[in-house]
Amino acid sequence: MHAKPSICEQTCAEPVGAGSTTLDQLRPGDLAKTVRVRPAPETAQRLQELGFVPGTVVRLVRHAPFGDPLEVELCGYHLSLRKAEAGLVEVERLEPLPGICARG
Amino acid sequence: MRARVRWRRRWRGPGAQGAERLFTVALAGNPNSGKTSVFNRLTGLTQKVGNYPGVTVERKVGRCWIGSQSFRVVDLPGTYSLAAKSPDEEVAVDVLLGAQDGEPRPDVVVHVVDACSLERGLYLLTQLLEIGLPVIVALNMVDLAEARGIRVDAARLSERLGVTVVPIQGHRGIGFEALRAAIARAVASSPGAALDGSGPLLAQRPWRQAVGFVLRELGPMVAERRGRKLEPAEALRALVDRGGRAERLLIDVASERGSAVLERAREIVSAPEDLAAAETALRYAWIRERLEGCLSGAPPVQPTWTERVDRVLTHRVWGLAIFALIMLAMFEAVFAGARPAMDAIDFAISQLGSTVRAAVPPGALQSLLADGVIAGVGMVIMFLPQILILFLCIGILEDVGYMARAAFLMDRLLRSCGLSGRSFVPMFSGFACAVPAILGARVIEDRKDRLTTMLVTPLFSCSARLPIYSVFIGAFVPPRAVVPGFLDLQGLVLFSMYALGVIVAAGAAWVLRRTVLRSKHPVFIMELPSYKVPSASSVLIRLKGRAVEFLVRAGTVILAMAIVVWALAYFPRPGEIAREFQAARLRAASELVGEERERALERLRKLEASRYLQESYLGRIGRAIEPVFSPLGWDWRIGVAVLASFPAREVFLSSLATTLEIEGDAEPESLSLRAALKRATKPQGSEGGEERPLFTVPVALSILVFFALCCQCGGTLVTLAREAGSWLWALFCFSYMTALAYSGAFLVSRIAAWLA
Repeated sequence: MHAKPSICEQTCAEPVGAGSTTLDQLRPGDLAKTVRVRPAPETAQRLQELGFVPGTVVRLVRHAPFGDPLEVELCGYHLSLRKAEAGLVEVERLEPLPGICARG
Repeated sequence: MRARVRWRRRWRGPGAQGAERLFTVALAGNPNSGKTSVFNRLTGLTQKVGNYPGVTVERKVGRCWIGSQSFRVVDLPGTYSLAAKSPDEEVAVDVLLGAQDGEPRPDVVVHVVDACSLERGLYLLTQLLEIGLPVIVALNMVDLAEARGIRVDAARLSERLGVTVVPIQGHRGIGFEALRAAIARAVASSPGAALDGSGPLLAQRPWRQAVGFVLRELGPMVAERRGRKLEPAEALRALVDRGGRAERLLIDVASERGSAVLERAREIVSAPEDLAAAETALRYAWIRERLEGCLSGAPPVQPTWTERVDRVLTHRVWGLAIFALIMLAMFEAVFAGARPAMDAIDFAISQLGSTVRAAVPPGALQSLLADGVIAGVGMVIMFLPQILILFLCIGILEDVGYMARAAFLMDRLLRSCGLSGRSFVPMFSGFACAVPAILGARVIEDRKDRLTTMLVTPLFSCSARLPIYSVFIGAFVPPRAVVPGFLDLQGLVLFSMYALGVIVAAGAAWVLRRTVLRSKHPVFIMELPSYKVPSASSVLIRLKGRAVEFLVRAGTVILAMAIVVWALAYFPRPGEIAREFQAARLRAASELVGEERERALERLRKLEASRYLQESYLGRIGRAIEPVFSPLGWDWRIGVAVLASFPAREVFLSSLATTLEIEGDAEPESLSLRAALKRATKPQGSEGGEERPLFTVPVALSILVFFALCCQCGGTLVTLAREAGSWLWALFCFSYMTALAYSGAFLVSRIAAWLA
């Protein structure tokens, strides 16, 4: 069996909805594909180094008790970042294929 | 000479010609990749922790034996990329380039990568390949990846990446023979060439041209002016990170010419807007292309253990409640859990004291040993169990991975003080000891945020304050139950002292971030690692380190201070006092009989001891400064003990123990300081009159508050001065904390007296 490195890419492939949104607009459980990271000194670079490059599939896991920061999953690990930083990441929502990627 | 050489058996590198060379292996990798356990396995107990010269970043170096050859292993600070954004990332880069003072350039780099987050981990590899050193990839935690359905074909990966890939399991010690063999092979062959397309970026023509241009134009000048040649990796960073460190360092050396060359080089790279975006996209594209065919297995549909546990621990509603419970449980464990051990040590120490008193004839020597050394140092050693339990709890929470969750939960709260969740772990370590906590603030990238964190961390009640809280709460707070079976008044007061430190720290941070140390809201991006079962050996290694550190401190600073305090309290011993009391004793013996005589003699003994103390050097200093402390309701004895405790807080109890012992109890074997404190009185000068207690509840509470808020630790101030870069900051910290402590103590003593 053979799977691509970004594991979710294989299983969840349907872009949904028109236009892109930003990471902080997603709801817990949503899947999305990274489009780009808006320029911001240093922060944008750090986000990109951590995996937010075009094509990376991201899943919003949850919000912290006061709504901020957010926990996301990408490239096989979990990351915590604030709404402000998440707002820099432009994403395109994905529809998970039924029965698969039902984690959350 | 020959025999010694043979015994040491250093490896003779190529072209060495009789000179022996010690090879250096650098361990690089992301944070949480298991690098530390790899380092521990390779170096064991040979590891030494220190500082890099000139920078305050922790340096961990050890020795590793492969066959008969000895290698030097350096554990570099964890980093995600060589575009350094914090001091310890800068050190990692500098060491790899050979630019770090006092640290030779490594000969081999072992890159530890977590198999579960392989893509992200390999990002650093793409940069390491541009450094020009041989790289070995240690693919760690392959067992955990397998459990998650990720199977990595190491041989194939090795072929695609062009470097040796060794699968290992650092926490189990599996795969290390292969790793060691790979290291030995790597140093035997000559280091690979740097520039020619060995990484993703330099394989692209525009990038190669741009970097080549910079090297041609600036290389000779730079090499001549600073004595070290310009590396391609450095040139790359200077190009991409506009306004960053690499660019600044280059312009320092090459000035305007450097700027112009960099600008021209940037135009060569055909990235319209953003070089950083282009760089990261290229690197990840390269990684994904290389990974094709190397991974297999199906991702599980079930959530992982970590995800399941996190549903509870970081729950939107329950997460904080559970966090508070965990913290409370920890405090209970520390206060109550160490009780049996503490009592045992207490008993042993008082036995030792009696033995000495029996063996040594009364006089200066007996007093020095019994009242000075044993009472003084023993008082402190008694708290070793409590301190170990505290360090154990914090260490376990960190190793398990819970601390990252705590930072996640606390970020919003910390943001209202102007800090970020990243400050949480260093600040929390302040509950154990402020010195490593201040060092831990290195991970905070924003300078003002880091400085604020360092300045308020000493307000978190460290383990040195615990004995003082413990003794005074035990002596003056009644053991009443607040929630029967779960929480009692003493535990509650203890918790309040810790809470006081936290609240005042929050306030201080808030003020600092709005006045002296203003900057934009810091960024908070933090990985949430998988939960791991902490390895018993690494926890024990760390605990042993702490225990040794504590005992060494007791053995040196505290012992020295205890002896000094004793000497000041004992000398001089004016002859007139001896004669005066001798006469009084004879009168009492002749005029009174029976029980009355006994009581009179007892009172005279106490009065005599107290007169000696008053006339001693310590007493004179104390009475001279008494006006400073009298608004707090403190007797000069307390004031002097507080002064003596400024280098190290534990000395407070030592010096109280010493002065109270010297003043004399009827029973030299009396057990605890607590009992002595309760009994301690301010003797009146004349024969008649009531003896008033030295410590009342308001006085005890004000002492507690003073110690909670005051900065009485030479170690903290020195560390702060070094980390902050200036003694002024240490002075500032000392001043504001002392002011807070004094006002707090004043308020509390007045309020408590008024309430009583």
